[in-house]
Amino acid sequence: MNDLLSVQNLSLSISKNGEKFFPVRDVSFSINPSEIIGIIGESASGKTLTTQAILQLLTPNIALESGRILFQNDDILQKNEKEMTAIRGKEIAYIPQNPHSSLNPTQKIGSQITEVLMRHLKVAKKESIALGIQALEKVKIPYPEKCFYLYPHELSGGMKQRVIIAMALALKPKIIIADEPTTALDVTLQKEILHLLKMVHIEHKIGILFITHDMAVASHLCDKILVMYAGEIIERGLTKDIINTPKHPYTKMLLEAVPTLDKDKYHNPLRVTAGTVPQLKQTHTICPFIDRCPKSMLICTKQKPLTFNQKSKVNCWLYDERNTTNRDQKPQKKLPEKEVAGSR
Amino acid sequence: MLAVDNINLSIYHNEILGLVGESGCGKSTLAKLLMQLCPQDEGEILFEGKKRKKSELSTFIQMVFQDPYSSFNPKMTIYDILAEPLLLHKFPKKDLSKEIFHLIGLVGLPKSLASLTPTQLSGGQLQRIAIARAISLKPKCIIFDEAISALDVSVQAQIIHLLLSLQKQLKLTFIFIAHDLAVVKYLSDRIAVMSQGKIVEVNTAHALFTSPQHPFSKKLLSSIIELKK
Amino acid sequence: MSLNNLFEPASFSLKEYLVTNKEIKRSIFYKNRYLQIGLGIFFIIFVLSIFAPWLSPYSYKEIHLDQRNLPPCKEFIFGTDDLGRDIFTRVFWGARISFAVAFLSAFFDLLIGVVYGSIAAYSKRYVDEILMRFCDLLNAIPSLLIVILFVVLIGPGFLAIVTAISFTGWVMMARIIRAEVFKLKEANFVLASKTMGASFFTIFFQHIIPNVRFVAIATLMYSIPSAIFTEATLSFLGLGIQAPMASWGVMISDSISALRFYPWRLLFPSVILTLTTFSLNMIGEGLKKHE
Repeated sequence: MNDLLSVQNLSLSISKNGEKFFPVRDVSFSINPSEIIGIIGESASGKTLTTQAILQLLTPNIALESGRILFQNDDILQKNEKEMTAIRGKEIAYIPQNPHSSLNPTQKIGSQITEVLMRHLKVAKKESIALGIQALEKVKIPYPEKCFYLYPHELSGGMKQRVIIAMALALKPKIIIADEPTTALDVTLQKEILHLLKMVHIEHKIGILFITHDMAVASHLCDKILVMYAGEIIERGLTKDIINTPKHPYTKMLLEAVPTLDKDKYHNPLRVTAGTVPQLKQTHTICPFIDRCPKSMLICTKQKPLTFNQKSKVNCWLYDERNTTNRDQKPQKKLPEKEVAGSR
Repeated sequence: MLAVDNINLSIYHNEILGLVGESGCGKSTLAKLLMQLCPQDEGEILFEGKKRKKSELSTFIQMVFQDPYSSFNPKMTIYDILAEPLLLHKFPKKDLSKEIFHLIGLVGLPKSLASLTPTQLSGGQLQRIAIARAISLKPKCIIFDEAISALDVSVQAQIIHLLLSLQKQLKLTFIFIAHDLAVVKYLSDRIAVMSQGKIVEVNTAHALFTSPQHPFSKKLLSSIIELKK
Repeated sequence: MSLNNLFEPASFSLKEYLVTNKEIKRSIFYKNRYLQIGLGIFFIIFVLSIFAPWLSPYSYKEIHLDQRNLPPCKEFIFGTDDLGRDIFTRVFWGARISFAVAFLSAFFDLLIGVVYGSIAAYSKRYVDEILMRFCDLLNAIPSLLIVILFVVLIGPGFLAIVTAISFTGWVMMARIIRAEVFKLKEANFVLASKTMGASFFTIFFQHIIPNVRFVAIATLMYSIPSAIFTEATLSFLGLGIQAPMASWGVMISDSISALRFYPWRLLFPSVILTLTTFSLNMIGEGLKKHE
């Protein structure tokens, strides 16, 4: 059974001053209407670029280096702009990060929705208004008829995000790509938006690709998780496997670095890892995490790790069957505490 | 509606006070008022029992802002940025270099950073410099206005660790404004909850999270998303 | 290498990936084509304006009635005009006039424009309104009228032109500086300096001015060519530089009637004028790119 959307070996390159750098390398995954896939990564992990590549919304200085993206068995990376506008919104919807700048401030909400509906569904204005109000009802906006005739600045951030989700839903897409939809909103709204997305997924059978940096959010919403670091997918698997038994040292670091309610500065402190995400490089022959990894081995400095099957699929030499060291023991060496704190 | 409405709050030596609330509730305005960066209509702010003049204020309280990139003059080097407050307070020129490098080291950065400009550093490094600048005048209290919200998760953890060790080392008081409740709970001794310009509840971190009293505190706590195992 | 060795723990130290300052500074000039071209052309014309009239065997007003309207030849590189004067010497004498106009107008732009703009940005709302509306008023008056006013008051010539141009030329700079200062005075680093006890003047000269320098210079690269062009136009109309002084405007004016027969008399002053304007615009573009 073929996947609905299949990203295969996607690599992107960016040219600066005549030199090529690779912000996304060999990324492969697939999405089906029955699942919510989460991509977790910090800054410069390549998660946003990957989603922009799916919709061909990349800025001109970023080029496709290799790979295919199959949507319904059709390579959409080969499509021209005209064909892509038919896909964007109608087949694959996009919910961007910042709701405040995603709506046209000079146009009423209603007219923005009807404009989209009329263009894609080719319906008359009256019908589009009815469909638009229906869409607003689906996302549980109170008084949708009133909201229809308001300007964006008259709505709160949470409402704006709902409107955007409504616009995404109205065309009955097959996949929704949500890029950190709750980051720009108040914490009190986070749960509502996530609940709404889950409801949309279940009721309308729409697959969701959910980008976030927050493991907790992904643990509630997503069925499968992909962990990206510096442009590569370093671990992937079912959510419960990744959250309960993380394999890759970076995944473990992500889980331990976030203060959860059971952590306490006196009795159960955070485990801190030194260093930051590496900058863009021209060649990537070894593991990108090597300079921060507490368990790096000699082979990590020589060769890029292969993918090994544990409960999840992890790109780390620790899980090579020839590795006889105990993977779960405490780190063999102490990292220099340079970037943490100290006095000279 | 007032931005800050009839606030009565005491902050004690050597504690970390967390300040939380929804956006627009007045947390940042309160921070600016404490720094006397905006005028107050009524009431008074006492530091160790007395009203202080603007000139004395900088040795009592300092602030670290949310956006590391706009907190620094993009045309100045890190060395000059750290020298500015010291020179303004008549620090002897011959000891200047030593003090600046000491500060850079205190926040965990290498000395080679001193000749760079803010645009050449990462967000995490810049926030460390902001912390270095804040402690350079040896204040008693530092306000962190969403200072780590814009940073990567792993960098946030590093900065949290740094803050805790600095607090112990230099015996400081922190006012930590944030919207991430778990971070606030981790760091703070006491937490004040603000809503629509008023402080609705103040309690120790532990007590607030186990038995919140005010309905808004309860609402805030219910919105925390915990890792689902 | 045996398999066993590969899985031994490695000693790998933390590397710092930092860009050094030296690399950034060098690239400002070396990679900026616009700056290179602009500065290059401007420099050549500037040097020629100093040395050409000085070293030339002819003076700018020397008349050779037997060698009138000669095309470019060995003795007269750019040819002669209808009074037998060497066009080459006159073109670069005119360049001196234009550069003088340029520097003076830039000086007043900076002096009046920056100060006025900064004051407006720091004033209370209604004071700012009054100051800006005065600028609008000044801008609305046709420059021709202002020039005629000064010509009447102090007589035609170089002084009248410079006064007239400087009288309204600073308005664009004032507007732009006001916008920049407005933005900067609310910036976080200004607030930070305030919290550290910096006085108003310290903040203004240490933080605000260095950050408007850039915008000021870029604006100058457009207002200077404008000033040069205005001078040329006014001299063309006979309101500025008077004969026998050479100015590009005067030379262009003299050459129009005989264009069909002696085109070089129009060609050379126009080309040099255009190149000067072009080079200044290039410098402006180059600086914008660098920012």
